[in-house]
Amino acid sequence: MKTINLLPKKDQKEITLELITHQLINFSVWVIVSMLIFFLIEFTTETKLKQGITSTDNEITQNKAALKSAANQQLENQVLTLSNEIKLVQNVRQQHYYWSNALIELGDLIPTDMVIDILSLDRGTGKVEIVGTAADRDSVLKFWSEIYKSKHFKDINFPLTNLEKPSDSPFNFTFYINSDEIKKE
Amino acid sequence: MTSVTKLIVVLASVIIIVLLLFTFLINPVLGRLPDLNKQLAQKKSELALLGQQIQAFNNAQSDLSKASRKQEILNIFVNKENLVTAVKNIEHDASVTGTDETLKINENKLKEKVKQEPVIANAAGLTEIPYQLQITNSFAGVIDFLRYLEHLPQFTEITKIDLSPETEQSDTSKAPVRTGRALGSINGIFFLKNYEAPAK
Repeated sequence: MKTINLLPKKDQKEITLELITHQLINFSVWVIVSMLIFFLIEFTTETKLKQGITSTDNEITQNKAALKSAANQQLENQVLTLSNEIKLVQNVRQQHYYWSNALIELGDLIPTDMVIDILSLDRGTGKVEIVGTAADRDSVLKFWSEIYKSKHFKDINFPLTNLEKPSDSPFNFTFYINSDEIKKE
Repeated sequence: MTSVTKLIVVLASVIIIVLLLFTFLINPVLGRLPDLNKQLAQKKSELALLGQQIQAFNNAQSDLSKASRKQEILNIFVNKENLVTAVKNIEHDASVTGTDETLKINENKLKEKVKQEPVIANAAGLTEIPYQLQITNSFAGVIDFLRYLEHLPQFTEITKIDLSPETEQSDTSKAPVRTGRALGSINGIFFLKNYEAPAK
């Protein structure tokens, strides 16, 4: 069946334009509504983010206050004091001299026939001076050799006056403390 | 109004409304969102850091309450008023090892103009108080006494040891006779904290 539009061409065009205008209005309404909905979503998101920032700010303020509270400050001071004290103790311990170990070794190295008149040990210079008399020269030489090999002492001198008498030999030696060894407990 | 004019007006109105909506409502908010998001992320990160610090303090509090020998460590270095503890300990050590001792504390040495090099380097907050001990004991007894001194709870450092034999006059010979005991002079230092030297 064939449809025949009996309206004049001008009216037909008018009707078409009316229809397009109507559709354009419909479409525009949808676009504007969509844009408003999008704006609403944006606005809600912005509000939520601002609320999030405010509440996080509040929590930060509370936590900072908690960290600055008297109890925490006191704890911080206690920990710092203890930590400093431990460092100080460690520092002093690392430089501590265990003289008894050196004297025990020295006692073992002195031949039984030696008599000591002066024994002097000085931390500042590291110097050890020993003066005495031995039954014979061999004992003096033996003592020198033992000190030369010892753990706690080093750099022993060799005064030629120690060789003057074969018996009842007076001697004097100067040697030095091995500071690394004497710090071991 | 003709249909064409009506269409043009509607189209123009729609374009204007859409442009206005986009320019004055949607775009400004859209521009602010990334900044706000970044701010929130930074705040959350700061909050997390603070949370960790609070946790660390809580752990420290718990660890500190469990720490043993805390007071002992804090009491190692005494102040002037408590130095008597160290002195009493030395007297006790001498008594235990059978050592005769005389103690002289040389606080006045601190007034000397020429300052001595510290025995212990880098011990800020500690003052070294020199002392001298005159002792008498056998050689083994002297070593025992030294061993006690080395382990004094209040810490002391020995700086000089001088030993010589103890002698006495004999009834039979003119020369003095050795008693088998040693006379010793021990120089050392005590450590004091919060020390203020006496006024000159």
